[in-house]
Amino acid sequence: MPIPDSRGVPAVSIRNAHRSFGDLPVLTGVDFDVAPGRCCAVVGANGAGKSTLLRCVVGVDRLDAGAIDINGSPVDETSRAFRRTVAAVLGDVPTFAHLTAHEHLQLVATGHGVPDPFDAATRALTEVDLLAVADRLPVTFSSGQRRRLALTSAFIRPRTLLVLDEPEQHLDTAGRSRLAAVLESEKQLGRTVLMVSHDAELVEAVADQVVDADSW
Amino acid sequence: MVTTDGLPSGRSIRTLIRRFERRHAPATGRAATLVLGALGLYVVAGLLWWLFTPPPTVLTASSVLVTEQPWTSTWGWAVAAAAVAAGAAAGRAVGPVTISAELGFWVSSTLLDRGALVRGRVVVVLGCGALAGAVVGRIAAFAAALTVWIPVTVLTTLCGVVVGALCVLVQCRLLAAGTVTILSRICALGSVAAVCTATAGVDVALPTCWWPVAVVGALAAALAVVAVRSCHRIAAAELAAGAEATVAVSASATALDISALLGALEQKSWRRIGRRRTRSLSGGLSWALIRSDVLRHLHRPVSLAPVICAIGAASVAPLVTAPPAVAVLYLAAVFVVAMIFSAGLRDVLRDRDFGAVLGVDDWRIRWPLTVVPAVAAVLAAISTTILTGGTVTTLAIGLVGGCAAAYRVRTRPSISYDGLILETAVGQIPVDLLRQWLRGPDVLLVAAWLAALFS
Repeated sequence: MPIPDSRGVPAVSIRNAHRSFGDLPVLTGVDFDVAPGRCCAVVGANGAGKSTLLRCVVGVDRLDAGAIDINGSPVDETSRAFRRTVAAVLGDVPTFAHLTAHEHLQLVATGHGVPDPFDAATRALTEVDLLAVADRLPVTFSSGQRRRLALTSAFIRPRTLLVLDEPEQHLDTAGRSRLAAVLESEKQLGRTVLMVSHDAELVEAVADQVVDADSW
Repeated sequence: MVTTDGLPSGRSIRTLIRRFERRHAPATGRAATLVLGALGLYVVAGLLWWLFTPPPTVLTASSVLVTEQPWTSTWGWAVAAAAVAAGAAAGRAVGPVTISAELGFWVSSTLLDRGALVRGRVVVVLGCGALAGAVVGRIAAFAAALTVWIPVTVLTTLCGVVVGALCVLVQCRLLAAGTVTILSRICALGSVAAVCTATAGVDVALPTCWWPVAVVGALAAALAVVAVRSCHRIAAAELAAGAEATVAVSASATALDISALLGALEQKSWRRIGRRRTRSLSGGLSWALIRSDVLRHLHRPVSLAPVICAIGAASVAPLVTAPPAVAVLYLAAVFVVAMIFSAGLRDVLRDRDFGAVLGVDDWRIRWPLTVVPAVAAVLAAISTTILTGGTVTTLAIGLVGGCAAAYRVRTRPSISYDGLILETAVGQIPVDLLRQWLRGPDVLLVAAWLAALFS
């Protein structure tokens, strides 16, 4: 059921979304909106199509039918305006074998025109408590450290919509608390968050809107 | 968050990555890259020299082919059509424009000009299309024994560019995906029709004048320009679609093991299928394993297409090639059939914990999974023998050699790269690696020699 948006155009608008693999339907008529500055959590059982929906929202997969609009414009991953708006972390993140964690973040910062990428990467790593391993190659990271690096790649760049697929995965208790605080501050800054999560506490703490994928 | 007005170009990001890389990579790595590049250039130059210097009758007058056969230009059409079909299908399977997953996440997701990032790759795709087209043109000219071969070669070179550009335009979403698929299927059917026409002795002349070249040239130029100018439209979904296949191509080429590529293509095909009706696997473990092997092909009947092609090629072989080559092709057909039907064996032996999961020893899993490939190989061998009028000796050699080679390939343990390496004056020879690679092909080579000897 679409939630009426009192502030004009929804940040994310999903209309009658359909997606199937072969003759296996994954999304069948999904319909909801997320208002700007709100956090929407999509919850539900494994295989309900939550991650597929997020992939379609960020443009790395396509709907068979229906439409997804971001700030009133259709999803077009090739446009700079879209890439400037949407920061996403979906699943495991591939890394260059020969670059350090710090260098990875410098690449993202440089590509987004962040002034002084070196300092920005240092600050970002400090915030997620990874500065001590900044010079290490990510292949040597634990799964939790890789997750934190991936999330940092989204936090280091400008954005108005943050799309996260199970961001709590592999994080320890302190990491989850920090994540909740960061997501809360995203909302305070007027940014929108769309996430899939199986962590009831995280959803309870930050979500303004919960969409149940089992009811699609 | 504050950002600067100017963004770096694609080139400056590449420079940045290289600078990071230089900081960590040893100098010997760069030297190895240079040596490999020089070696690649040497091989390509040698291949081109070999293709462009032989006389027009090098193929038709060879002892491998039936020299009494009236070699017509129709064979050239068959070769060209088959190449376009294969090129179009392969182009779509691998992308053709792809980027690695890490480049996709850390670089192409940023505000950088997507066009600048992938334009070089589009040009490489078009160049590869042209090179493949030139090679096909020469082979078609050899098959037709053409003395005036330059117009045909230029024409197929341009066709290669057209096929490459069409695949890129599909990625740019300027053409529907079905366009290239339809082109591929039409050319495949055209190739079969050309083979039938050629075996009937009908001559359909290949172009030896320049006006068709001019027409296709104009088309190729227009499509290439549109492809290069539109490459900024290639979205992450399209860039990622072929990346897995490209990695598999690279892994297969590096390890000289085609199973990585075939495995990736099979995975892609299963994902496209999505689901199938569940059937009962009751009746004991052995019977269940045999049923599961059969279900693999019932669930994906397209896997039988290479079987039909292999048997078809072996059946047509006596019309165009000499008996020793027919015997070798016959052996190859049985090997292909045995390989396709023994995918179950590969799957269970790849994961050594399979036996532990089922609670039985390795052998109790292995033998039921040899039943379906053995039956399929016997059926293929008998039907091909009947179609080609082969002898009992070639039947026996083909069947035993093909099945044994397929069994050895399928039961090969994972490649280990830390075995014996000989240091010689010309460099390192990875003896142990060669031994592992030869498991399967060794039997095939011996069987091929015997088949040619007794044919």
